[in-house]
Amino acid sequence: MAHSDIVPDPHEAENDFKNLEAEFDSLSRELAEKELELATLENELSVFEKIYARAVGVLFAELDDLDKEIAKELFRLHPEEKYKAGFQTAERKARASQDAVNEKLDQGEKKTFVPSEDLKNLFRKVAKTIHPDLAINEEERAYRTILMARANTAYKNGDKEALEQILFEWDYRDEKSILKESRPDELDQLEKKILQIRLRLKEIEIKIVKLKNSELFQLMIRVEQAEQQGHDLLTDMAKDIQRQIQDAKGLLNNLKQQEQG
Amino acid sequence: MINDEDSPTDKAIIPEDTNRQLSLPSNMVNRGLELATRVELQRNIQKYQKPIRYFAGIRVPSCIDFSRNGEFAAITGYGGRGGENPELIIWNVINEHTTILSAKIHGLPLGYVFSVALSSSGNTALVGYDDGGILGWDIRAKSILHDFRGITYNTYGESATCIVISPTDQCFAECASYRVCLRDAKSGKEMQRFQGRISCYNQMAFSNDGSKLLVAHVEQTERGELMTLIDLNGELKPVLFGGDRIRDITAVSIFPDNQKLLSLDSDGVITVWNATNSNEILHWSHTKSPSDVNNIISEKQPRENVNLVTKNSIIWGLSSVAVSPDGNRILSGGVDTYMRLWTLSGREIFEFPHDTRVVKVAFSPDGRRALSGCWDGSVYVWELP
Repeated sequence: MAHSDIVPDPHEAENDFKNLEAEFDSLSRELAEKELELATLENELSVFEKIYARAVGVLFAELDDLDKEIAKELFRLHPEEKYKAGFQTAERKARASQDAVNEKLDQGEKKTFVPSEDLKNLFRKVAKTIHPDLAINEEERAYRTILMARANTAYKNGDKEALEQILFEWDYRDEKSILKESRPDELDQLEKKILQIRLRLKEIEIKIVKLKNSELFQLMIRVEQAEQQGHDLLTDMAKDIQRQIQDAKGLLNNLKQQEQG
Repeated sequence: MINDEDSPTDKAIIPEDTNRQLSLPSNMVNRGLELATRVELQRNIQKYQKPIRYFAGIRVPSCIDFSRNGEFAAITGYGGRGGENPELIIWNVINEHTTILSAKIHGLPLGYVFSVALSSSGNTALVGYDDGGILGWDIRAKSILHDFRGITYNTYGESATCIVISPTDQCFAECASYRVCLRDAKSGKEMQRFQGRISCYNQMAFSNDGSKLLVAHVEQTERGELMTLIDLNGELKPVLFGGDRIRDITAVSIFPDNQKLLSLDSDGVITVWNATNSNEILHWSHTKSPSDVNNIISEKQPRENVNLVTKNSIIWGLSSVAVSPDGNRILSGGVDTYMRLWTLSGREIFEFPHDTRVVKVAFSPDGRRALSGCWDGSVYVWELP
């Protein structure tokens, strides 16, 4: 596509345009790659969080509940302000832990998130085609945004058919309201898009760094490293808490048998 | 720095799927991380019980400092037991290469050493003497860079009890008796002086960005305060810290976020402070049983110069605390001959046994190793769990 009608030096303009097109191509590939990386990381963490809540979180909640019972018994034996405060603190902590774990358990169980190469490739293709930052007007952006959200959900669920459906819908979209040719053919539009992509790339980078700095990510990495060395860290942790639970139960029984005074 | 707030446009671009948000409260994850550390530690306990490398020591009471890059240790005899003009030993922590520097060769009669400081890269060292002189060494050239004779002199006393070099190596702070001086690293010229009604400064630490200086002093204010935080860039009005509980502060450090401070006092208590409102956040004991400490000291310590023992048996600067680069862990070393690794909440992760009192502790820049220096001049490198 040559657009040399307005610009004084057609050759130079064409070269500029080609350079921009090449840059746009490589950036949109990079964008798809980064979106994939972000979505994968988010999903891995979200799944790990549930596994962690199920394997370890519930036990922490149980331990906190026992601590609350112990604090209650202590308050019964020593009806003083100090023990009352201790009981109230323990009660709050137990409730908070229980709530946090329940919320995670309600979201259902899932095996670890291991997307297949097919799924990843499909997501890359979808992201590259429908990414909102490739839009040239607001209407198109709105439409692309909806599709991108659907694509993220489909990727999370490992739903290849849904991803293909999105591509299909894009190919046969309503051409009256949205321009059929999504590839920009004007210099300033191309520049605008490149800028949009760059902004989004920066945002993704920040999000990825944030996630990788999270405590949950650190924990996930340690579980993975332990696994490589043949250890099941989450199970070992669970065993440790179970020992603490046994100790707490013993203490609680002792306290229950004691008389006030 | 990364902004915590997502920009509004970001949300408009791709609507977040609510299920993708991570919602387990951080304390639930934090305690999991702590437990994971404990479980892994139990599995590999032998790995951490012995140092990776060590320097055997100089058999006299010693002054020790580590460079911020974690590559060098400076060791020199302390006070009268170290003798006049003791040698300065620079030990390369990575390749165990030793450099010995002697002021005697340069024909400089000096007093007893009271303090030593290494620059961030370990290229220069400053040694403070009881006669108020400070000597600067170019370590690679093995030559004397500065001879700041008598710069700490004042009417109350003249010993350079503590020197710290700023993280940028552009200036250093030295304290003696009743004032703290910030000096240009090249010329030694006084840049700022802090002199208040508070007496006898004994321990100092720069923040990682060099914008703040924390100073501990021996005598309390009327309200019991023992530490002063000095903002070197902004308002020079110092903020005081302390309280009735603490008698002497023997080591200080500033957290990387500049929001919290760390102190170790003569009762072996580690305290985390809020740097903004000077309130205590929490405290716990470095020593397991305080009553054991005196026994350990009499059995294991080299005999100390009596003149150096101030009230409550505290020797200036001879215990140490450090905060990890990520701000989540703490190292403490003290008279009970142990260095201990703690979580921010004060839970002990591991203890590292030494033969004598631990006078200096530091994290490596990646936070994965620890350096410790002992009263007998020995230095150890440890793998951290």
